[in-house]
Amino acid sequence: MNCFDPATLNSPNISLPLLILGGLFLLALITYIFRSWEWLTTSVAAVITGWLALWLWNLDLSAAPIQLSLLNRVIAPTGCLERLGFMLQVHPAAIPVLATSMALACIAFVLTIRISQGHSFVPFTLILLAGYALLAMLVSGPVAAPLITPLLLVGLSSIGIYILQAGRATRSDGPLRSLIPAVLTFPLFLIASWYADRLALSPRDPELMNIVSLLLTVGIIVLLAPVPLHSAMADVAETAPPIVTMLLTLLYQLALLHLIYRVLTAYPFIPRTIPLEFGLTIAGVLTAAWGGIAAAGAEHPGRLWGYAALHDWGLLIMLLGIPGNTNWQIVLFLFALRAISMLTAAIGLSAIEHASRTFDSEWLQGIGKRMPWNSAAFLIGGLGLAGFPLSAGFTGHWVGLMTVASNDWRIAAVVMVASAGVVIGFIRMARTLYGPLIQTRLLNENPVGALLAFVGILISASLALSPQLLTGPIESALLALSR
Amino acid sequence: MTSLFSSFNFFASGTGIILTCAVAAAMILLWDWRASLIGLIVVQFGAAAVALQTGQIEAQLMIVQVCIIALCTLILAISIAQAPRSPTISQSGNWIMRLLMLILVYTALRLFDFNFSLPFPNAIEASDALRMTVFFIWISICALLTLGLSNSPLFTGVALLLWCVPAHVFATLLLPESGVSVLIGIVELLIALGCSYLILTESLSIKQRPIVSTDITFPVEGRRMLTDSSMVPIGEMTTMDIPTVPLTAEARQAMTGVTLPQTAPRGTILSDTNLTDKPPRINRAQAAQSRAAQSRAAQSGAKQSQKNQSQINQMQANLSPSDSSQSHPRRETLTPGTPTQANPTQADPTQNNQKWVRSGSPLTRTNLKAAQKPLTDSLPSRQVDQSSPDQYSPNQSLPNQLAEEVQEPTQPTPNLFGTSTHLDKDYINSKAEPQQKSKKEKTGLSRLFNRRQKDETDLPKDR
Repeated sequence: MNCFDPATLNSPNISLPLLILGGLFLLALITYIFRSWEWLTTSVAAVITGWLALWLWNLDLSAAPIQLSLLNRVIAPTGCLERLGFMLQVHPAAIPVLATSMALACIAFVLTIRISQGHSFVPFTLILLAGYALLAMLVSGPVAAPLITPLLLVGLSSIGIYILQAGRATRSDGPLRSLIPAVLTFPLFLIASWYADRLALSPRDPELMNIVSLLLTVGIIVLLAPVPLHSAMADVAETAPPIVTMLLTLLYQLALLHLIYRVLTAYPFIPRTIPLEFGLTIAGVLTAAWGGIAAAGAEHPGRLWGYAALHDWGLLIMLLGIPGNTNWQIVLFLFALRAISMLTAAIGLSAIEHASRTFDSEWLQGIGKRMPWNSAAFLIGGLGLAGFPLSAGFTGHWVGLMTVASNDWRIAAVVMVASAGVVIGFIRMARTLYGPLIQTRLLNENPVGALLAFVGILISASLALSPQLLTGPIESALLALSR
Repeated sequence: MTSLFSSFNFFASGTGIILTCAVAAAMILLWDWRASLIGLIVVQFGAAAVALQTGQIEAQLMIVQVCIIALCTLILAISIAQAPRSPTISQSGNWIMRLLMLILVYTALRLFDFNFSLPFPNAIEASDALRMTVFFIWISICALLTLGLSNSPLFTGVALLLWCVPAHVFATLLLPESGVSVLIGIVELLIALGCSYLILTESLSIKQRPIVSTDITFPVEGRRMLTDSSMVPIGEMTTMDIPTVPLTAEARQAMTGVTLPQTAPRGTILSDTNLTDKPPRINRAQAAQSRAAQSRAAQSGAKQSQKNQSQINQMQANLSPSDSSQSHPRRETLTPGTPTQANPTQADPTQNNQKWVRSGSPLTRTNLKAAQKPLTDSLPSRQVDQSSPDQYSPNQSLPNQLAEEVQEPTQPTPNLFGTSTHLDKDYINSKAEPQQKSKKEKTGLSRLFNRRQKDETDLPKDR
């Protein structure tokens, strides 16, 4: 493999991983220096990440190297970067993950232009983006690539603390708890890697296979943070800036889905030796059920959103546990709809948070009369996470529930009841938002904010009516992953 | 440093391991930040000594690990030093509960033979492997217990680092050449940095208030307030003079059902620039006119008086401890109409003397102090007859004077401090300036009072 040697910087070839990582780190450094000019840094970061997302999505790895006439260098798309025992390469399976991560970051940056999420948001997000890109491009490391990922996730979660807290003098439970799953699991993966090395010497050893399967199954389930390890999601949604919450949650979960896919591909014996499906189903049911129950009682908009996201995540965990090859298509479909719903809700919630002075109940009451579009975006996005009809998540939930019901209808019934809990929570929230206005000093919503909310609602509605719009991208992503 | 390990070879012996395990348990039992941080280093040292005993690991690697943990504890300790003394808001239960938890876990481990074994390289002797297994499992359990008992960044950070200690040693043993050890070290430092950042932000959001056991308020209420980050204790405001207005029965009736004002965003870091809204204007001409026509306006003034009195009483209820009458002797001297002494039931013992205000109140502490200058001091001296409270004319009561001076703003103001965004900073400052002298005069008493308050708030070992 023609790996890039850092010692030969005069080489005309630049590997793509070096370009991506180096570019993101450089951009992070520059934006950190100019972090007080938030409008400028977010705009620049949005443009660059958006361009990267589009370019990566359309990248043809078999194409000829790209000439950079400005730098007098040639970019080798398939070139790899080897450093400190890690080998990075843009392989086909990494492209959808990279492009999705960049697109999510781009959208978050665009939204941040209007409503600040903290001065450090842009530079820290770019560093996180580089970290997640590293995970996606990791071909091999000191131990097998999927098994070192949880350790790297600890580092990324630690960096994420700063933008989740965002200098706010609020409770720190959410950022703190977001650390726990990754920290708890990385030793399990390291021990598993040791056993996996032994397994390579005696591939038929059932005891070794059992141990590896057990360690990885427990590790994956803990990383997925189902109930009772779920509290970070709701706490983060309550206290952290909504756009940051949306972005970090989705980036982490995307990396996690990629990790699970790689683990199950690298160690296909796991489902055969350990009842992984049973464990995931139980964890998913508990998570979806608790998300629904807690959402029905949640009064804080952020927390309600967090519990709705938890409910949706529970369904996704359940789908991961369903055997068969088609379930990954459903998982990706549900994740895409989840991203759209969370994004729509985050658009509305960030505007509401800004106007209601961090969800002060007095300011929140009747805010929908002054901010109808943003309130609607929050409600529609939240309801999408519950699979409410005519919301983005409806088709995903419907397909997911049908798949679950084909195995056990009782589980599907539990999820349906839990979804009703989420819907009840949002109906209560709608009554608050569109109820009598208390703070008459509240200004009408900004036209740009209303436009963004409208776009979010429009995308949600479009996907609710024409979910087949996602079929093409999902099939491409699945094809790329399977290569 | 290598010789240091050899001189502390004791840690690798059976007694040394038991001692290290006891230190880990003591960290939970004592629940003190100093004990936790020192204990963390001791545990890391013990783990390094045990790993070195196997002879499968280089001393330099263990030295680096000890140094990393020492650096992590230093990072956490610096943050603790930066933060004001505060109890941990995420209570860990008392020491008896923690002791019972430890006993329960230990008994469970003894009773149920889990027969759990960790993988070790073949070169390690079985006895060493068994010893390390027991040691690592106990440390991991202590880490999980700490994690389960705490929600504060400090103890969670300590727990996560404690969890990393055996993982680090173990990874070095299992994967010696992989460089994973370096990565774990970096991750430990990142965890410590993250937790230290959260310690600092936590200290911004939460101020302590002692829970007085003898208080009539049930302590749970105090604890609830402690856990509510939006509440900031009034203890910070002890130097301020609360407007000393009597608590009449009518006013108390008006207070019924009055909730804590929530006009400000929760948890926002505030600055003086928040004071930008339109303030209640003082119309001095109107006040003079009103004084001249005082007798004519007696009846309407009384109504206005009640309204303003209820406002001020509400503010008083929100801001001042009910027992502050003892520390503010002027309160009794200013009693108009229905003096407190004459009607002792007005000193309602059921009123919560630990009143809190929202931390998000747009008033900064400085401005709040200025705003809390005794309003009586700003009134003409003839209205404040401290020597003869009984001769105080109801028509010249403080609320009446306020009624004359304060013109209602355009927007309804449910509470003076609840709508503190309306306060004019300039007006507050202009009112505050002439008060410097009177404040200095009271310095002795205030200082004494503050000292007493400080002693009360001097808390807890657990933070």
